[in-house]
Amino acid sequence: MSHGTAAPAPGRAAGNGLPRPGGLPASRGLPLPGGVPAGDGRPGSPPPAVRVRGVRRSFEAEMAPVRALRGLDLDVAGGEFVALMGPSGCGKSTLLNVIAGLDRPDEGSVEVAGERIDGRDEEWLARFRRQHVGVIFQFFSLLDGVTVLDNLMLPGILGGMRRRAAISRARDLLGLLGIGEHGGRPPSALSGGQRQRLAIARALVNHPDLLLADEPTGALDSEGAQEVLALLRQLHASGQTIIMVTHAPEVAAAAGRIVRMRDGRAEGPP
Amino acid sequence: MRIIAAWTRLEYQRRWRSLAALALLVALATATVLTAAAGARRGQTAFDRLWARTLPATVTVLPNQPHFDWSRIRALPEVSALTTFAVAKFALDGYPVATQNTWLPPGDSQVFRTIERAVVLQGRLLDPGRVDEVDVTALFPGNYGKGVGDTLTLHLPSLKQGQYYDPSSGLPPRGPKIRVRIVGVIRSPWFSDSPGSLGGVVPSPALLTHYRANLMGVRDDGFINALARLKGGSAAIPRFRTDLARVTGRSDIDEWDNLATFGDPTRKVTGYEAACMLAFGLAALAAAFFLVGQSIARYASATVSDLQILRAPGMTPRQATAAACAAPFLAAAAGSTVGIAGAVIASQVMPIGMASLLEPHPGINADWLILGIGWAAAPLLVLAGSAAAAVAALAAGRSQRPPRRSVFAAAAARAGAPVPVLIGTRFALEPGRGRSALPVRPALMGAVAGVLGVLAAFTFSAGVTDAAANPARFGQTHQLETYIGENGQDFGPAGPVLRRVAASRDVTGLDDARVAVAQSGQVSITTYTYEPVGGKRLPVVLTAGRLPTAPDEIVLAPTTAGQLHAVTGATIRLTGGAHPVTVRVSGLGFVPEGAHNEYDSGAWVTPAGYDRLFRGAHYGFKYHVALIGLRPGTNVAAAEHRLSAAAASIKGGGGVFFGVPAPPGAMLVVKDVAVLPFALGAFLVLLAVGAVGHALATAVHRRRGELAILRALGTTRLQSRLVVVTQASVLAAVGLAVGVPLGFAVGRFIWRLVAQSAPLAYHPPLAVWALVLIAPLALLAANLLAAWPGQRAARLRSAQVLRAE
Repeated sequence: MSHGTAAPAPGRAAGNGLPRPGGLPASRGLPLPGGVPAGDGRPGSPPPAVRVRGVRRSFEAEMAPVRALRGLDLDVAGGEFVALMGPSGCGKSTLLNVIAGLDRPDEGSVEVAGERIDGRDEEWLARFRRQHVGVIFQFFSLLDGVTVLDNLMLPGILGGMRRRAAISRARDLLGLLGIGEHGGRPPSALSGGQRQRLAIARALVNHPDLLLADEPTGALDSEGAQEVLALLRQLHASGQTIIMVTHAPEVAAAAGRIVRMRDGRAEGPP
Repeated sequence: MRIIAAWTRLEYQRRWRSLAALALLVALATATVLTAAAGARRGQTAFDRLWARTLPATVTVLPNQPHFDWSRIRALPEVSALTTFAVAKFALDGYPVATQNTWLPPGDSQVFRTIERAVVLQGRLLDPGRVDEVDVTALFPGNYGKGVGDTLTLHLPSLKQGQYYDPSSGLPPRGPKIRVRIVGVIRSPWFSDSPGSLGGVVPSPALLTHYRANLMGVRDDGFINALARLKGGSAAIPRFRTDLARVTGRSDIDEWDNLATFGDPTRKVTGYEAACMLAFGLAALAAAFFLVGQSIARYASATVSDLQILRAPGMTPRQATAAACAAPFLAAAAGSTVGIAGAVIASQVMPIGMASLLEPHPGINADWLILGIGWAAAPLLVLAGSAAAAVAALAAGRSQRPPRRSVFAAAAARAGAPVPVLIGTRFALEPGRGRSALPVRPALMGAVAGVLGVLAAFTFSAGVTDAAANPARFGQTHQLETYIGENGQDFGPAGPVLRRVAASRDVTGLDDARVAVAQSGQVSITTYTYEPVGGKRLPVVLTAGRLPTAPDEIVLAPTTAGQLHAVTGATIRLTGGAHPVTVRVSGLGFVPEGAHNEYDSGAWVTPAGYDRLFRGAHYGFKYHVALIGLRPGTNVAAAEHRLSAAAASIKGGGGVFFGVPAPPGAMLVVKDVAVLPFALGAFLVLLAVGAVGHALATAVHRRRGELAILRALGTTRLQSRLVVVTQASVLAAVGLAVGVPLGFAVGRFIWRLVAQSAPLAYHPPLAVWALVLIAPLALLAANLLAAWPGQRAARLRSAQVLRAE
């Protein structure tokens, strides 16, 4: 995996699209390497990018414990774009956090990029996320007190880049995502769509194998939502494995497969 | 490391004000604590360092005998140096006579050369061959307005006044006037100032050589006493005493072990001062822990809240902790460095009190051991505090437990309190969660520490003020005294005079005290008779037991009892006359402070006990004094005049003069450290104001989202301001509720410790005005601090905040 350059990894679709004013690059296939070879679990085929078996997760609450996940199974193949859909409170975001290693299951196993991540300590999970997982949040989760450029630089340094290389990578991503001229401004000065593009760029800094998006359009207007969905489709087209959480059918339609969830379980086969 | 460096750089760009404030707090705390610690160490060792430098006299020998032959004493094998001095006084022309302090004229040129080789603070030592040169002690220039190079006029007694002239009588001398020049400011254990003195003049030995008759009397029958330096130091004193008795034929010569007589009480005082200073430093350190610590906790919490965003991209908990600590650590290192510089500059005012009168190297002094420890410790403590706060904040962030709710906030809600009051109470008492979370315990503890510290300081100060204004706390229950005899001879008809004085309505107590010095091993005990006249009993302040009633009973002063390891009921063996006697300790109590004893060293005996103890002594008494207690409210000066007239009405009683006793030296020492509680109180107020103000400002910033939501729901600007005012008032109220009783108790406890160590009679201090005013002042201060954050809350642009949130 290469760092600090915009050059595509071998075997990835190259891209040389120039950013349109206010919009995304015209060309498809951003030079954003990531993802593992697709697999469908059949003998002889590569292992899935994500495999979840029997995961349970409960939370303490003021009145009574909340059972967010109740023995959930899920497989996501490499290069897939999967939407997790369901009503509010069905455990979608909890599942995403468990897959990201931001939360730990009470029971069950979780495999990401061929590694078991359940039972790992926080230090290991953080290092794993740097290299393999990018996370996009509904409310962007950006650092308000620092510039747009610094918001991208910090994850790069976390991933092992030197400061100059991290800044260079950040500038490249900002340019590719059409917000290059906002590098010196705080995130609060950007529109919702621009902020979410920034959040997506941050998730892509270290070329993750897996991109997780939690309600990425939930805080956006329709135009911003369309921009973000188009970007996610482009990433998928270049081989990125994506799991997206949403409660909106029109957003879920952008994905290649929809997994419905209810009451902490996934409906249908993994 | 790169991520920590990158994050630290960003922190300094975006939060430099908070870090600068932290650095200033650390600088202030470091400077205060280290100045106190270094000052305590310097004060504690001042006497010993002066002693080590100046070839001090080991003993003071006071035969008080005319024509005493010192050559035989000089020749004793254990004597390495000896210098004499005349027991004679003179006055300085142009200054009030009664308050002057002129040193007894040296009798030879050994002084300043082989013995009591003074430290020269300015100028030089006088030439012993020149009458017209004098040295002065350190307090003299400031109090008399005359320093090196200036001239004075010495006014000697006339031939008729001779050796009996005493400037404390207020009468001027009538002898020759000699113009002299101040050539130096000096200091040695013998030539040093004491608390309350104005400084003194040390004349040249040539003064006695040229004006002997004026100073020693026309028959040259004045007293020449001496200072002797012994080979072997204090350990040689017993042998010296034996040899002195052998060559003089007298066993009753008063000899002072200078180290025990001056050094031990001085060390006790400087030790007390050092302990006070150290206590001040420790209190300041404790306050700094709380108040600076809460700033660090808030800073770390806010930083961790931001750093949690980097958890998703892969920041580990260790990296988050290190990143949260780095900027405060660097700020603390800068603050600590500034603090060290401040401590070095502030060392100019150290040591304090009596130690300042003994310091051989006054001025700026860098105690690098203390400063080095402090310079390293301050940033490390901040690092540790930041790390602890960051770890706690990270753990709280991961915790699934519901946020802690305040019972008081819940009670306010049930009681139907207005919304701004509810929200303000929650801001003060609930940490919240998520990105707006803010630790509240540090602010609460800071408020408690501030109130506790101020009230403890004022309560302690009330004890100091009471002691400094009440000689009775030091056992001095008489308001007038008079010397009616010396060396076994009364100056006049003592009995009739005292009976006439006792008959006065002004007099409520009158003790006819014969005073002599007994020995118990190495311990000299100045012994007073307790003999009321006319049934008028002078109160004696006892700390245990009762006054003696039998000839074989004795009351010991506390320090003497400590030296003898004696308690009430113990028996001790004393030598005062021809034969030693055994006495039983009936109690412990303070004695009058006299020429040769402090208020806490000495003893009381009955008249029969005195006669038994000193039977066969060379003199019947060393001094014969009368101690007079006056009716409360009596004008002392007028009573002095009336009693002098009453004494003069007795034939031969015209020479009896009453005087107001000088306050015990310890009273002046207590006064000297009276400034410390106020300094500590001021320091605590400064820190508390800074920290609480910072807490209010931080709360408005961190919880702007909640405030914006409230505005969106319909609260007005005034109500937004009221939220902050409520938060400030709740902090102050908690501080008062916990800090007032604790501060009162702590202040009394510490004063009791001081009273026990001083020693002095403990009287429970009560800082009335502090108790009355602390609540309104604390609330006022809190609300003044809330003014600016309240303004920011009122002017919040809620739309912008909600959008950004």
